[in-house]
Amino acid sequence: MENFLLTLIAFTPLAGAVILMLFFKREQTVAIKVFATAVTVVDFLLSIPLWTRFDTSEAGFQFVQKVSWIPTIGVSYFLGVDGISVLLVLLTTITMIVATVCSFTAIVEREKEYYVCLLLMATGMLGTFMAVDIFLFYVFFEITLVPMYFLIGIWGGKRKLYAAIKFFLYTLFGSVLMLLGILALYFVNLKLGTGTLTFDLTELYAVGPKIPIGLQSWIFLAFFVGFAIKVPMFPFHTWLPDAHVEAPTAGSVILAGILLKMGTYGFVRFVLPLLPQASQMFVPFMVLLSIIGIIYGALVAMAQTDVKKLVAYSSVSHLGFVMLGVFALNQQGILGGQLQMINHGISTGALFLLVGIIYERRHTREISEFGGLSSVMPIYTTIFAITMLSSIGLPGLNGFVGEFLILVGAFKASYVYAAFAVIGIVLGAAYMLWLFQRMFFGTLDNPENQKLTDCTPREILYLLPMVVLMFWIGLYPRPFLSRMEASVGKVVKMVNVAAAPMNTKAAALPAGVRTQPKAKNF
Amino acid sequence: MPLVIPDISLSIAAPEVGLAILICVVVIADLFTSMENKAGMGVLSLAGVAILALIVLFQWGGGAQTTFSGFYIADDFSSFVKLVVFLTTIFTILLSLQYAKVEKINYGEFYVMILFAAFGMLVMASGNDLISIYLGLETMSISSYVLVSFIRHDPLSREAGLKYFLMGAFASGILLYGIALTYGLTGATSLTEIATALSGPQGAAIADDPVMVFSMILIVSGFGFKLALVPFHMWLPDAYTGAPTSIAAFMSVAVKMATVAAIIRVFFIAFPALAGKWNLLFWLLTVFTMVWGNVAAIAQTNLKRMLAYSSIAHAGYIMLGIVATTKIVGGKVVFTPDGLSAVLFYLVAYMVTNLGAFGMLIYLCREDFRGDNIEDWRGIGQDHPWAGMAFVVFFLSLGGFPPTAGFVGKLLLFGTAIQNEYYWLAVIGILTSAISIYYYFRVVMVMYMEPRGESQPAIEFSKAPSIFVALVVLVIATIYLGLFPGSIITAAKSSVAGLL
Repeated sequence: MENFLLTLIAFTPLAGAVILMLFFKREQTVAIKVFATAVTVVDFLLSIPLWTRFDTSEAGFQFVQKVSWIPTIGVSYFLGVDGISVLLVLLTTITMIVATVCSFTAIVEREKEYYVCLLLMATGMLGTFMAVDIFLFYVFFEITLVPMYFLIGIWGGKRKLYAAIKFFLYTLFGSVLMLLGILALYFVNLKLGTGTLTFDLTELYAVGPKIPIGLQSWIFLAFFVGFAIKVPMFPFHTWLPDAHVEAPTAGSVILAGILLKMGTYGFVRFVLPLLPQASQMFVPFMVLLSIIGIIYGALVAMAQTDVKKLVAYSSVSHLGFVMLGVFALNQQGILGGQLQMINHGISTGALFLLVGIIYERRHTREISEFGGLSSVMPIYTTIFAITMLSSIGLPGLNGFVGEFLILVGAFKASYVYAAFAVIGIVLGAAYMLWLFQRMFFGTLDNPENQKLTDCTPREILYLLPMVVLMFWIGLYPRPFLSRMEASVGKVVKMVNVAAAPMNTKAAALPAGVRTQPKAKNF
Repeated sequence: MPLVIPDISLSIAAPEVGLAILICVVVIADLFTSMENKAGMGVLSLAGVAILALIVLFQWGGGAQTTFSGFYIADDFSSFVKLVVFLTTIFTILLSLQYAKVEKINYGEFYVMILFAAFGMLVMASGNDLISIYLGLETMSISSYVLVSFIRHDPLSREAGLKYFLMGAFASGILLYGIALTYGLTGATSLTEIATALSGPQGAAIADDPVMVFSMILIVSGFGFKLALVPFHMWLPDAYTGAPTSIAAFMSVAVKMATVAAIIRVFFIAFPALAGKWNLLFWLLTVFTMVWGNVAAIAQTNLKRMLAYSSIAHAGYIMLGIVATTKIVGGKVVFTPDGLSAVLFYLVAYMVTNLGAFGMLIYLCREDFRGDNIEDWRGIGQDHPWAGMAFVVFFLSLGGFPPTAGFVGKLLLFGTAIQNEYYWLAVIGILTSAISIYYYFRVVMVMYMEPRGESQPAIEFSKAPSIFVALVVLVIATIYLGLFPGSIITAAKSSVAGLL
């Protein structure tokens, strides 16, 4: 049972999609919605053992299933989760429920195809986080593009066609170059490593440090393009605002909550451990791009007049933080980056949900159209306030823990990094609070807004898990951090194994020793 | 002078002999068939080809055997190619049975010409001598000229046939001139004898002879024409657009397969001494082909023409595999057999995919509505989700997207390029393949995201079971080869094992 658990989780949505396609008629919209929700709920229930039965002391892969798949070219069907991926898997299963439920009233045409796409999306994303074989990873990584393309292109906004193809091509260009990097790694392993043809990540980990730095840099760049576009890092972020603005609410939630994490996850899972010397060499470059992303994203967000676009640009800024943490290359930084991935998924996902709620009522997202909403929509305002504060990083809410850890990590790597990152936090607070002020305070002068109704029970129901998670991670992050620590420690050890002289600060850290960050003791 | 009887073993050449008999049977049976029952000729050909395919399968693993004084060789490589040719023929006939009626070209000769073309391809696959390869090539080409212009009442088809014929005849001349020069310098037309003549110190002098280099350039160009490598591709878009759709499908796969087989034999067996030179030439042609094929496809509004350009681009990927197979280390030529097996796998993947893509056009085609414009597909994905999905699968595979056959094919090809350090070729190739997604997905966009216009004719797919069955098999094969490519890869590997 334990061996099949991941397969079961990954393919339940696919099975659901197939059943939906075969046995449901288009007109049975209620049945389709109920069934799709049931599938996502079952999938979430199946994933609960990943939380309860996860061994926090184990750094390697757990719940492993390995079957030979295409032996002639060394491909295996190899699934497993470790501290780096387990929370992302859980985040995905939760987000999928929310994404399904939030679409009930928002999507009114071609429902059947819509829920099929959502479920296919789930399988793609779950597989991406579970795959331990790079070939398998790539297959899942690419598959996610297709349903997302349809989600944006069919159910999107005014410029949906443009946004859909831009999203598709942009990410595709990155990932095909990454494929070349994967192939290079595969053949390097033949020459320098185990001498066998294999895509098995656990075996490839061994060959990484042996690759000459020249080739390693090229492979790094190939992976970098693939993942940086996905994250997206500055200057590859231009597809993101278009995709977010045009996508339906659920699409945005999935995009922000999970899809972008595939990029940051890719860096932690593949780039750092597989290409340690190159990772260290590129630290200044990566940090520079992250910091530009943080500040640029925040400044552009501040200038937006469309709420959804503002949230989209805030994602650029927040993911800059994640990348900064990851490329601090120390325990706190990566741990913070990991936690911040989850936090961003929750907070920004919730923000997109909230934007979707108001859009459904008013069919506009212009900030200037709103004002004084707090008097007509008290519950909505409260949830928005909590989410916004979580996004800013108010102590007691989830964002703070992640940002604090990232700053500690960045500080250890260099004072300069941390100094710039702090500017980003200030800016982040500025645009969010200003947005809140413009939307919810002031006078309720727009007659359109006076008719607004507050959140329905269904809306509260799907926002609730997000809010609970914000408080849980903010007040008691221990269970989350403890699950990640061992695996993050392993990554830190692997990336610093070469102890390259160019990054003495990172190398000076006792490799692999799990230093207890102060942040966890508050 | 005593009469020397050459060693002729008909059993080794069983597929060709069988096909020749089949052609005769169909021609004779055609005489006794009424105009309404000409589809029966298709069924007869189909059955015959299926049996011949089994014979080839039976020959598999028999080792290399030559006959006809060394003009002909039967080995696993030729068997592999022949199987692909036969499968392509089978699907082409399946797709044609009803389509021929729609286009009013339902004559027995239609199927006979397909079989003749297939016969030429078999000879090319088994050619062990420049002469026999040339003969096969001409048999294939002349039959193709006829097939392309088969819709006599359509000026487009006639024009296509004439263009194809003029260009093709010109290319054959160039090829023949190259063969003649080679014979003049080496005194041989047999592939192995040419290789012997070019090896050793004496051979090195011949290999460096400018005339020899010139003859090799001619041979490269001749094959380049047949394979439609840029800049020798001019005929192809017109020929494919004008040709009956099932013939365009047939040519895009089978002609390519046979020509690639001939290229592999000629260059890897006869001309390893000149590998550095032809490899460079092919490198350039490959890059031009991949880039121009994909870029030109973007601008097309006719789906058939777009698929024609896409098939040019795919010829580029196939050539990428052939270029990457050759590695030159310090003046020494090393061939990587995995590169050739990747090429063969790609051709199989391309077969199921491209036949499927053209098959979709045939599926929509009816008497008063050809349905080969991209616009004609507007809204089809919304009203006919299954048909739309099938087309999406084919497009994904053409674009090299997992989990389809095309992805594994490209992975293997680019893998060889990376392995032998053709990094730039791999980068250019993979970026152009990402470009290709743009124009493939433009059709998907039209199908799913744009509503069908008021004035557009209603969608009505063909009701012929043969087309339906062919498409279902092709969709399943496209996905199956993407998920479980192992057995075909193994077969491709063992088929090239004895070749290099």
